[in-house]
Order: sequence, then structure tokens, then C-alpha cells
Amino acid sequence: MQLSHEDVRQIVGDIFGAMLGLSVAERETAVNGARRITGCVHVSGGWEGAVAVDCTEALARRVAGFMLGLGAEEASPEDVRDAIGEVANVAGGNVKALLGTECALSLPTVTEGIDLRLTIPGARTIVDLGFESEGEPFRFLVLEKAQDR
Amino acid sequence: MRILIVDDSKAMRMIVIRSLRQAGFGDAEILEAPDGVQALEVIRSEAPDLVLSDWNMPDMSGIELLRAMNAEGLSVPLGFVTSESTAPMRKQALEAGARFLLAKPFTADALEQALSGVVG
Repeated sequence: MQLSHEDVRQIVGDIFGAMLGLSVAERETAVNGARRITGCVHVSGGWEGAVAVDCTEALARRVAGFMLGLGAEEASPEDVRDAIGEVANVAGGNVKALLGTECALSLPTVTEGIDLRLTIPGARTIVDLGFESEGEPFRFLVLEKAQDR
Repeated sequence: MRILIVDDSKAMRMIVIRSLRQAGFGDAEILEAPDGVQALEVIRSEAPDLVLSDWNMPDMSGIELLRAMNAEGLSVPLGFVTSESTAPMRKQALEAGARFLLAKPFTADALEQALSGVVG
């Protein structure tokens, strides 16, 4: 699969900038033990892999607050999981549109914690780009599973 | 005007509602459903003027909802607002009678343009 960094920048800009109205810039920033929330969707079919958005809990709260029209502290944990799952779902749908092959997208899954590491057995990370939104770091990841055939 | 928004994400339903207001539909009465099964019940009981539906949802997907509406003769205009927008999906959607397929992420302007040919 050929997914350029420019494709990823476009997807991230469309989601965080155009849809959510948040500031966003490509920037490598260490998360340093902060609590994180990762939204992930899996793709199966002609291409197999996953697309994930891994962000700090602080950014996840801001995203949820914006989407729901609430203050960041007013969003419930369920709201935050829903919002980050949906961001991953939109990201996955946009990556899927670039694949040029028939695929299915899973419903999103959300993982929370510190020192999270996303792995899929038999898959390699083909995109791992750092961004910053509203002063908080996040990462955009694409994992590709090796084709059996 | 009554508009039913169908999406399993509450956060995305809120984004659609906000975009509808920005697109000039602030006076519309908004109905909500988290999946196709509940949407079908709302369509039967509330007879909305328009349905805006996600595609990928648990229990009953958006395209299954549209096909169920067709099977019951429920002729409410439906447009998809979905993160997936491949050519085969567009073909499926249009063949089933969808009025448009708007890809997420979208802007209020894009929603307004999509709705311009469907509602006045």
C-alpha cells in the first residue's frame, strides 16, 4: 500500500481543522508518561491492517467537548471514548478510500492507559506521524498486515 | 421540517446537528437514533421529512436501513453522511435510492450543498 505523508497530513487537517475547528500542525512531541486514549479501526479484505489515532487524554477531552458542545471537563468518560472512536472511524474511512481495493471497516475500538503500544501480530507500522493540536500531541498510525498470498 | 440523524456515535450526531444549524436548518426539529433498527422505528412512528444516516453501525447498517425502508414503502429521502465513500459504496447507495453520500469529515457548506437538491 502506498500512503504518502501528504495523504496523512490531508486527512488529519480535514478532521482536526476543517471538521473540528481545532488547531493542528505536524510536530514530533514526546508524550512522557501522560495518560493516553487510542482509537483504532481495523480494515479487512483486499488490504488488511489498522488505522489508529493515539492522543493524550487532555486532547481527547477537548475533542469530545468540541464535538458535543461541552467544556472539556464536562465530557464524560463515555463521551470521550465515543469521540475518539469516531475520529478513528473517520480516519479509517479516509484511508480506506485511498486503498483502491474492496475492503470492510470494523467498528472502532478504544484503549486507554499509560505507555500503550498498539500491535497487530504479523503487521508492521507503515505510518507513524506526530502532530499537535491545541498544544497537545497525538499520533496517526497505520499498520499493514503481511499478505499471505 | 423534521430531520432524523442516525449514527452510533453521539459525538458525530452532535456534529451533524451543529452543521445543520450552520447550513440554515436551525428551525428543523431533530430526531436521533443510534442504529438502523431504532431509526426504522422512528421513521415508522414519527414520519420525518429527511433521514441523514451513517453507513457502518451495529445491529443494522445504513444501507440495510435504506433497503428496509424501501421494502416497507417508506419513501422518506435519505442521504448518507459516512466516513466511507468508495465508488462501490456510492453505487450501492444510489442504486438503493439514496439522495447523496457525503463523506466525513465534512463542512457545513458541503452539507448545505448536498441538501440543496433534496429539501428546499
